[in-house]
Amino acid sequence: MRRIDKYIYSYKVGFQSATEYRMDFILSIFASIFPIFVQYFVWKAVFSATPVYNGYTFNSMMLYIIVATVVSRFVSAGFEYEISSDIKNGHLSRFITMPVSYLFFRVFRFLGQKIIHLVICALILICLSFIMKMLSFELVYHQLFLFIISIILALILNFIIFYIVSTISFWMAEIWGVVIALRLVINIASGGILPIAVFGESIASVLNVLPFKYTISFPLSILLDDIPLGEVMEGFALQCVWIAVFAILAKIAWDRGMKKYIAAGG
Amino acid sequence: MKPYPKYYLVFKTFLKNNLIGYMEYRANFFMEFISEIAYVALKLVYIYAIFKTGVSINGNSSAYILAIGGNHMILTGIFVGFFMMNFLDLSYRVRDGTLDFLITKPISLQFMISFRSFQLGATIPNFVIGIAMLVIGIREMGVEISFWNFIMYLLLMISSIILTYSIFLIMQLPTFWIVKTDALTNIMESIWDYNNMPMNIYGKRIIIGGIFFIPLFVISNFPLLALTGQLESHLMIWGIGVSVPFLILSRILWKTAIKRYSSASS
Repeated sequence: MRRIDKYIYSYKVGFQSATEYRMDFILSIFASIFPIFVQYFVWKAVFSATPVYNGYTFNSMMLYIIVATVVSRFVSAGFEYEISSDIKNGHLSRFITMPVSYLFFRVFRFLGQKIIHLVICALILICLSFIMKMLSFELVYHQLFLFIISIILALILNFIIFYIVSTISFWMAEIWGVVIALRLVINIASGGILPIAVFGESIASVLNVLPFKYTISFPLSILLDDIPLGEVMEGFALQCVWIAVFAILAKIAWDRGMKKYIAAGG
Repeated sequence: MKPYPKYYLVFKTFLKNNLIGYMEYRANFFMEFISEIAYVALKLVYIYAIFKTGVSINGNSSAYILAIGGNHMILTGIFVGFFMMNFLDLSYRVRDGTLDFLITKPISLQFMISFRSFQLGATIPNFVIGIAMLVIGIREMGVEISFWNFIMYLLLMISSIILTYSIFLIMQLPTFWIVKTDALTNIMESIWDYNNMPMNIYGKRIIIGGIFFIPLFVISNFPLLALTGQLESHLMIWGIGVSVPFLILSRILWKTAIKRYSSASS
């Protein structure tokens, strides 16, 4: 057996699980239409008083919110509870005794899931783009390729961020509240809910320095704002830098955590 | 034993069990608390973003928007703290057949299902921040609150709580027909948040539907309108009265739905 085979197997497990629960993912996107409905009325009322606000018109704001909803569903991690349960219930012991890296097991499983999610999200975005076209929204198609690269980097970055979040389980037995809280806060800071510019200059300047905007806000700006190539390249570089930084942090957190690991129930 | 003291005794026991549970698993309390604070923060982000625009939305001052956000948060504390967990528990019990254990008890099943567990950790942040927002909002609006208006506010709040219970119990009943209702729960939570904003941002038809067909806007919106003396008297009577037929409706639909229970896995 080649070294890579076992990870290809983990990839297949992730793929199968996402295929099995595809309706769950589709319904979760469907369910996020309902909050968009509220947003539609709120911003319609706001923009009836001021046609342009922080560089956004009603159309561009709605476009941002809709695409951000799909993208944030796509890059979302969703494995925090699985890792937490592996740590809490001692299943991690299996991985210690086996010649398998837990990190790579998780990475490949994640990628397997995301292939299915990618197909679903792409179909939704293609359908959306036709509807947008009819409503005279314009996407920046010639940067589609750059958008895809940025999404892949965003996916990796988000994976590592939530991998670090999951390691809290080594120190705390119950982490569900922390996970929910961090998911929400990171989503806000990523621009997954509203464009970062809407929060005003002072908050936006803080959020622009933080790494989270490279998971949602940056890829979206490629697709929606037609930002110049130089800025895109700079963004790619920063995405890579943050991936490297978080990878090191993840390694440190995981190694420290393993010293705490008590293999309960094992 | 007369029926009413019996229910009172059972309710007290439920409450006691919950408190014992909290003392045993203190971490759960903190997790509820932390995750709920994040949800509260998310709402504050939306309200802040609208505040930043500085425009009045369809004639609502920003102070009024703050007050309605606060009043809705108080009711959210009750919804999340007292009803939601029980409604979710219902679909779990239908799925794995553990409703059997409750169905055999010599007490109303609807009562047992509705009031078994509480999430006080989720109620506290909503109450504290909600009341603060309501008080600040009302003070900023600078309206005099008469004793009569305050009584009406309290009556409409009680009516709101009964409506919350009835409407959202009815929404959870499809669990007897379709087993996996996660998406339904997400939609339920999203619809709940429609009340986060003054109802007149929505279109005329939606407002009429939300008052007279599914009286969702009676929750949160009506009490605050009454408190600030903006609610016409016929709507006030409707707001207080409508909760009774809805409570009866929820009882009738419950009885119909429970006939579908097939006691899975046994």
